[in-house]
Amino acid sequence: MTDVWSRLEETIEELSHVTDIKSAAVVRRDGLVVTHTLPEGVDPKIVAAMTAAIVGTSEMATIQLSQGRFVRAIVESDHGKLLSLGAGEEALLVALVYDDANLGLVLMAMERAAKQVERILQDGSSA
Amino acid sequence: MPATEDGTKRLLDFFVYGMLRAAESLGNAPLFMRAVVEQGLRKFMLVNLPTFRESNNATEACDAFTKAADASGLFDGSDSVFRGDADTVHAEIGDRCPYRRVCTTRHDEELPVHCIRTFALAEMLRIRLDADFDWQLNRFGRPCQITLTRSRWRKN
Repeated sequence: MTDVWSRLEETIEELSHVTDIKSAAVVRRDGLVVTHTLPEGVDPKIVAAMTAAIVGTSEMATIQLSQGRFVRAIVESDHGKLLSLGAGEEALLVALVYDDANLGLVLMAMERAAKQVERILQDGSSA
Repeated sequence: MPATEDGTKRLLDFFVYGMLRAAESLGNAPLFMRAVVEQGLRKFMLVNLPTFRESNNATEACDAFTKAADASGLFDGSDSVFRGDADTVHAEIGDRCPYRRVCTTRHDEELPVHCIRTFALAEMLRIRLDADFDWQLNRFGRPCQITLTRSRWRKN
């Protein structure tokens, strides 16, 4: 049987091939990187820690402002967008997308990938 | 400098308790504590633990790390016991843990107990063995019981 890491790597590779997505990563909620397709020159450890911090703080802000359930965080900048969302209780999914990306398409692919990551981790836990 | 040993302990309690509350208010205590411990270890491990020589076996590495910390006077590790193998460590940490007072305060306040000693062990394993270990505080008590397990998320 393929191990958890390889299945996560396949998922992130597939996601990275979606039009408008530059690169993507699965990270742990405690800020450790699991697997990624980030370009050279980008430190995946820093991206993982930043993603965990962004999501953690956003979730807390959502709670404090009584806005219901946190769904995703979108950071917009000059040269692109950083999208991050939960992938089960233990993981997060992050993608770097082009500035003019079709967000609907990207988010649909990300949500599908996040569910896949959650399933892989659940399978891994019960194996 | 605090004038007494008790003053030093209270100062430690003050900062650890404050860091944990601040980390929780920012939404991700494990990330924050892991980062604090990692940066601290990277800076001070060589200085404070000159006798520490890690093993590739996680259980032996945890035991050696604790003995080195004890020998250097950081804390009393004589009540810490490590059993297990290269991939899984079952740890028991007794009454002499310097963080026990903070953990007890948090436990009494019905807040999650984040074991600083285990954060340190997991980070030491990550830095020295290049291996991620997931950990769980199975029981907060006398002794505390903890399990560290090699992460299934990491490429083999």
